[in-house]
Amino acid sequence: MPSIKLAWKLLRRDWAGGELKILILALLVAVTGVSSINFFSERIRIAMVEESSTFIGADLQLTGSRAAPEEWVNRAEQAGLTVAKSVLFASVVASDEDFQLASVRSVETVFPIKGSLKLLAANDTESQINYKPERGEVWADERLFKKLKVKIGDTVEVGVYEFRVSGVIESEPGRGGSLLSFIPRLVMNDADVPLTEVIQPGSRISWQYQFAGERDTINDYSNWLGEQVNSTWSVVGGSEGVPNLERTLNRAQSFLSLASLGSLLLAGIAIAMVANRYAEHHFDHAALLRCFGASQALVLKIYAANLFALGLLTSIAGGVTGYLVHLGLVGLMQSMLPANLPQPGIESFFIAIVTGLIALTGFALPALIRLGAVPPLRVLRRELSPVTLNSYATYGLTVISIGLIMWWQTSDIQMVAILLVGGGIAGFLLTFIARLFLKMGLFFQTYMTGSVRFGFSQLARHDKASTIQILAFGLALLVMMLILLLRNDLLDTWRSKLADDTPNHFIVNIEASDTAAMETFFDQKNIKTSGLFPMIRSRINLPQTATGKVGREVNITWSENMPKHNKLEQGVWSPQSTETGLPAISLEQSFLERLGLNLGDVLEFDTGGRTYKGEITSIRSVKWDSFKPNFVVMFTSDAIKDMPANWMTSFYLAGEDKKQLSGLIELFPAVSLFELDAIMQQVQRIIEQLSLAVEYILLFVILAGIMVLLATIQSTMDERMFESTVLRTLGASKSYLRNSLMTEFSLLGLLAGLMASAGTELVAFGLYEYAFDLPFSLHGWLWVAGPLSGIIIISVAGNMAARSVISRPPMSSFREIQ
Amino acid sequence: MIKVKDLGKLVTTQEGELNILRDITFDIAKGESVAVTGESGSGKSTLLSLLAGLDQPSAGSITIDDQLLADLDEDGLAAFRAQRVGFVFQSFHLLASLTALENVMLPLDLAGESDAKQQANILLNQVGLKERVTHYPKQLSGGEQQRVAIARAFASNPSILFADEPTGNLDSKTGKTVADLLFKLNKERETTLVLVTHDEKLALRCDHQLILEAGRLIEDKVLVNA
Repeated sequence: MPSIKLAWKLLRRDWAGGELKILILALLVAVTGVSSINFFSERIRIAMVEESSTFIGADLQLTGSRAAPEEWVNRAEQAGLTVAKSVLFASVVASDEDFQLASVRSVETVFPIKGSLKLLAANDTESQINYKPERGEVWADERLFKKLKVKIGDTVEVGVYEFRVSGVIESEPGRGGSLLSFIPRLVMNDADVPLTEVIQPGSRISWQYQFAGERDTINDYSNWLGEQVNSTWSVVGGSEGVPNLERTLNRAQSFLSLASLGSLLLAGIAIAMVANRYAEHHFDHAALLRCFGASQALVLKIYAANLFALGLLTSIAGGVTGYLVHLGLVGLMQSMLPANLPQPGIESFFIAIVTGLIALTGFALPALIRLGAVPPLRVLRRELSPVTLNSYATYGLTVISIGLIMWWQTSDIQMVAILLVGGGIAGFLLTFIARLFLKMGLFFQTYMTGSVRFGFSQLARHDKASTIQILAFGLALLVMMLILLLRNDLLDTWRSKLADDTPNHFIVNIEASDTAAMETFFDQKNIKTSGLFPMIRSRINLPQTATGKVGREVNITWSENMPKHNKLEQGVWSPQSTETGLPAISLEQSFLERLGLNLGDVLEFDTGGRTYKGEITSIRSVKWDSFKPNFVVMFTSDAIKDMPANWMTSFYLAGEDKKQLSGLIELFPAVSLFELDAIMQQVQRIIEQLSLAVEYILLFVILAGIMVLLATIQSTMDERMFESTVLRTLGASKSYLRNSLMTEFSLLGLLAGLMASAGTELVAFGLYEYAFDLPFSLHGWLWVAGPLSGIIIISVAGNMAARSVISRPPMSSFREIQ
Repeated sequence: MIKVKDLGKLVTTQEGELNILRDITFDIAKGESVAVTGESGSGKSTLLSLLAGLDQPSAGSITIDDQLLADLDEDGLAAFRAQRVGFVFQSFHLLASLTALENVMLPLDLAGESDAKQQANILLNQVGLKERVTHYPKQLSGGEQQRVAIARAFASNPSILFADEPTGNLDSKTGKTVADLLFKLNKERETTLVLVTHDEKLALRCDHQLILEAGRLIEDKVLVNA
């Protein structure tokens, strides 16, 4: 194959000549960005789907708020499935030093039924196990060890009983990384639960049944079970993974994918620019090859082979760097990810390569096709160039290839269509804004002199390239700053909006018999609570006129007085029964509207098989962020006071008064205490980690932006060289040229930075005012950080790329131009 | 072997139609050297491009070795050039990214020759550039570059060599050396040479001279070398 041999030779020489360096770098950035996300997503996908049985610890898992009917378990056992039962509940665990609310799993037979629990036992032996703790012993998360300041062998109290801690749980199927589990885990033997006296009527408990067995048997049983359960049960099959964890990670992945596609798009622009210049520089080569007898097809084949080889080698390199980069991403998000993520398959690597080839084809092929169309007569008449491709065909190919890659990455054709159309419209608008900024900048040109003026005019002369620069850098900086802003500002603004005495502690699982004692405790300690409210779990049957659905059990309450932090919007709050003799109930406004209910409607409730009714007589509005007990349904009389309930309250306690809590736990060992400030800190840590991960990937957007900058400089290099040669021949000094370049790039950076700052404030305004309902004020630092980072990045990269314009002696430039 | 009959080339410009060549008829025998001379704009280069199959005539016909060029499509013309034609240009047209040796190998690579390197080495030796085979064009003088171009032109063993102002970019001394080489190789290999030139001295070294004026052939004279 003479063409392949020749293509290879030409490619090696083009590489040595440096002309393709930017194309290769841009492709490398694009493939690295996309493939790092691919590797990352692939590992999570394998963990979620293919290894989900060990991931959730079973082939099938049934969870509900009461014990499953015996028939369900019997049927599974008769079908030959292995069944394991656990009970999950929250309880405060205390040591001599401190106390902490823990999520307790009491294991009846074994856990997990598939896969294993990673446990660190005494003498530091690590083991993968699936059984249960001995009687009188518990295993706990490392977080619990730290908080309670205990070590293996020490004792802790759960409820009223003392246990020996015999192991540290390092990873547990179905729990994700430690950061996503808000409450640390404690595992105990099921037989020990009654000794703790924690579980009382009305306590919040989950029963979990795990099943394992032959795939067909599991499928049959799963189908049968699906017909038996109602909305109060959750059935998770092997292929469904863990819904909450999966949803959280999916969102993070989508965002990361979007960022990596942004870098791909920018890199694509750079590739297209370099390819265009490369093609134009090779018109003479192509003409010569045609003149020597190469057919049009052969010339095309040579350059296509050239492109393919380039794409293949670069994509392989991009796949390797993508793998390395994804390790960084996994490291950044480690505490949110499941332990022991499986390694990605070799397919991820091939996907990286194919992505690179598609991107290169879409972005560079239109330019290279022109090389095949160079007329051989150009060897005698240099002015003959191939006809320019129809721009619709060029853009069409580019859009199709971007669409293909997006579709492949997201498997969501609707989202791709929205992104492409929305992106097109946004691109159009933003281009207009970028041009506006450019025009504004150039307005000052008339007031400048000498090299600075020349720098301004350079920007105006390359206005298309300048617009792309402002757009690319402006957008990348905008997203970066927005994330920084949200990370640092949002939670603080929200916190500062809350009153100083906003409750920061919740207590649930208070027994009815303890309510009076608890009120006395708070009075004695002078702690102001939001009042004690009973919580009754109930299913709601709606009247036929309702338009919405309640897919789960809800907590309802009763009180003869309306809570002070609620506002009556409609109807009458009355402890009296209605005319129809039914107890009166009050509904929260948005809940009522969502279900399409009205005043006068009658709802039927079912609490553990006991049914009762209530008629809506009032509608309230509730401030959910008041951190006080809020309920969507309230009985306005004591009509349901005999229903099994556990009580709750919330209160504010400053940091220095927290030691009073240990007294509370001693008196009421069965209650569950939530410390909101600790949870808030954890939310903050999650936001920080997620934003770090996104910023990490956004670095590739910035890198791709730099590639666009380098490509635009390269595409104007011939012209710049010519101008600088003429200027230097006419006596312009090196410093004149340097100053004009500095002016040009600094101005470009300033405009991009300003656009980013303005855009960030605008998006932030929208988010604060409309999404979060928070007071908005301008951020001074944004207006310094945006322009400053724009100027630094663009002027450093730009001056480096264009330094040969200044440094090359005029004579050698002349020779080159000739 | 080259028969040109009633050849014409008409182009459409903004000012209207323009006859670059009209009613050109001549024959060139095998192994003959022919100089095409005339003022700038007289149509010399256009005639060369038509003879080499780089462009299509508007009227008349060109037959080379009994093959009517008009019967060949784009790919046929490319094959024709690959098998029968060699070129030498005024501005050398060497690929800057390839060495002298690789430039000479180019037409041989295109023809799929297996011993391209060996043949190219022999040719570079013949043009006196044995020591410069690994040099890139920018490391060679103008005369050396044109010698590489001559070696490249003979590489595919063409039956016809087209030379467009081969000494036009060279000083007179170097030009003479290059011309000597061109005629020497031409004679050794019995190639038909069609040479477009302004240089009357160079034209006089040919067997035949075609003089063009405003697109017409005004004289077809046999020179003393014939």
